Amino acid sequence: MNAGKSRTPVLSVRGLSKRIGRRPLVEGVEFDVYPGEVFGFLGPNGAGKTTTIRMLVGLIRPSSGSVTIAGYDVHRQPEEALRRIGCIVENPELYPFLTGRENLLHFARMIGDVSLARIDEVARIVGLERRLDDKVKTYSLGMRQRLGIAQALLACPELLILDEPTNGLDPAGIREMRELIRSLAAEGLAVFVSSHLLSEVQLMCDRVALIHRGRILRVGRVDELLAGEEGRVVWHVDNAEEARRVLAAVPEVQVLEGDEGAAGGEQAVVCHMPYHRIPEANCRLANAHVAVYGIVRKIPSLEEWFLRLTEGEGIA
Amino acid sequence: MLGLVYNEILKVVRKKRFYVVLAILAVLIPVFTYAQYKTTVEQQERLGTKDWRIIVQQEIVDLQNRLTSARLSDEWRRLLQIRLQQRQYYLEHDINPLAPGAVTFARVFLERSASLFVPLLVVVVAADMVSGEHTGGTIKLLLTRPVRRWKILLSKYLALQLFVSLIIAVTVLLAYLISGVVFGYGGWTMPVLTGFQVTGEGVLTDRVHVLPQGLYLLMQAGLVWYATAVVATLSFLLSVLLRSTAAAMGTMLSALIAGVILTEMVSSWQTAKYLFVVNLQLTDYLAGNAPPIEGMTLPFSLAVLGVWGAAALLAAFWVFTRQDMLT
Repeated sequence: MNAGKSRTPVLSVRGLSKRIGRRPLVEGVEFDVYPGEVFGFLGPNGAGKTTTIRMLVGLIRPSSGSVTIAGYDVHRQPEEALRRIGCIVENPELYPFLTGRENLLHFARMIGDVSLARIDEVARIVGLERRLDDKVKTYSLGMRQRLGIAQALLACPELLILDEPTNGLDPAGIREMRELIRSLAAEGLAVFVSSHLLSEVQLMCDRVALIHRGRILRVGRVDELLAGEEGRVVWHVDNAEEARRVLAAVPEVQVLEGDEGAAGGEQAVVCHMPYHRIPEANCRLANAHVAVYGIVRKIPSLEEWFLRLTEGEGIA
Repeated sequence: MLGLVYNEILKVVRKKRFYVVLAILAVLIPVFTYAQYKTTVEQQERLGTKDWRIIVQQEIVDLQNRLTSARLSDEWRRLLQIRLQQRQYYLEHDINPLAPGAVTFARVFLERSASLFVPLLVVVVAADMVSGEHTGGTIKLLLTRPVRRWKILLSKYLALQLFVSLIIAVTVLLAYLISGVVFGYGGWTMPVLTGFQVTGEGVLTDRVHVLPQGLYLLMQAGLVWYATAVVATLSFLLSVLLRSTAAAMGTMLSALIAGVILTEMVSSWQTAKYLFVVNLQLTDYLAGNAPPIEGMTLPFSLAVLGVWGAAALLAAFWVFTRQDMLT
């Protein structure tokens, strides 16, 4: 799925800024998205994600910088550029007084050459074929989200831009959405996904850009960015006192106070340690006859992580 | 482009805005028909005759009596004199201006609705054209399609003008069909006088000529269409600027109602004749009624409305193609 990395990017963003009055909303944002990858755009709420996305799709004119889609500038050649993308900006707001099919037909007429067969095809891809002739106002949020994606896929785009696609979905819906996005990328589509949840980006994305207070902090592979990020590890054991003693002796391990996640008859110990030390630590616990019921990696919260990333970078 | 206009028509129809307009007409026209019927019957009872000559003669006497009153303002006096001269002309030429019939009803109804009622119906549709997309959030989907913004706005504007024409056609048609039940469906060829020229002193009748009422109705509908198209364009601009249907509708309603009030009282404020609301009653020129401000003529009003409409259209396109969709 990473075969496309050497090819030219589908989406190329350079020096993108938006100021309203003198207040900067987004400053010097730069990144590339390649075919076949899921690219995460991660930042806390209010970091400038939506402003950036609106500039990507031509809803907002940037104060400076450029957005290029498959070689076409979104603001100078909007027809050519927008023909190559499908998008959902914020909530998938479609016309509630029309049926799903009428909504798709409406957008098909705006694109031009979309066959009727394509409408059934996209409905099948998102699994909405049975409710397609019902009015959208009777749809659940998950179904609206899927109709939104069907609409975005209508023109066979090269790039899909999804703003918080799992927002408001139940756990099953979130998994389905994740699988759908991965399968679309596997077919060669570039997918740009914004999120404020680190865990979601970790599960779904190949590469990620981190945005904070309107600036890009890092761009890179998710695992590389998180590597060296010593997360907390929670050990569920039968004897916490003994476990603390054993774990403290393992190199690079720092045993923390508290027992978060302890439940029932179990006890828990929380450590700060690199993940590659887990097998060794587990082995030592076994040798010391401490029964281990579970080892849980705790992902740092986005805010915590960002706080550490921004330390010493002068972005206060 | 055809597909885009079709989309816009579909949305107006499916949002049921046009049905609201039809429902208003279907309720109000029978009410007016009944009121007209009662007036006719009562007048006939009062005068004890069905002969229109006696009724018109009685009107002339009434007008003359009122004109003798010393406390009459100059303006009123002029208005009454014009009416008196017209009545005399009708009587001399043996033309019944009040002949009942569905066509007469439609003509009078359209004339009375020209400056407020028909524009209001159009505002119901026009004020929602662009702001409805903002309220529903669908503007984001609409503007991220591979279609230039000016084309999207143009398709909306064309759809709107189509509905303007449709609303006027339906108003005339419903007025004819519903009132015909009571007054009969005749009156197409009945002669109607037009060409009265209102001047400072009174009415010039040397250009007066006779038209079949059907043709007169058509000319009237054309004038109402022109004025209403301008009102629709202004509402369209407000819909772009305010992004809220309620705000656009409220603003336009106040302007129209203010216009009706102004028309009654601006005769000495000369510059008011450049306001669009004062120029909406174009049918007055056809009927030979005194304009709200002395010196206003049909070409003048057409030009004023044309300038307002063109400016609003330019502004709407200028703003819509440039504005940032931040929310």
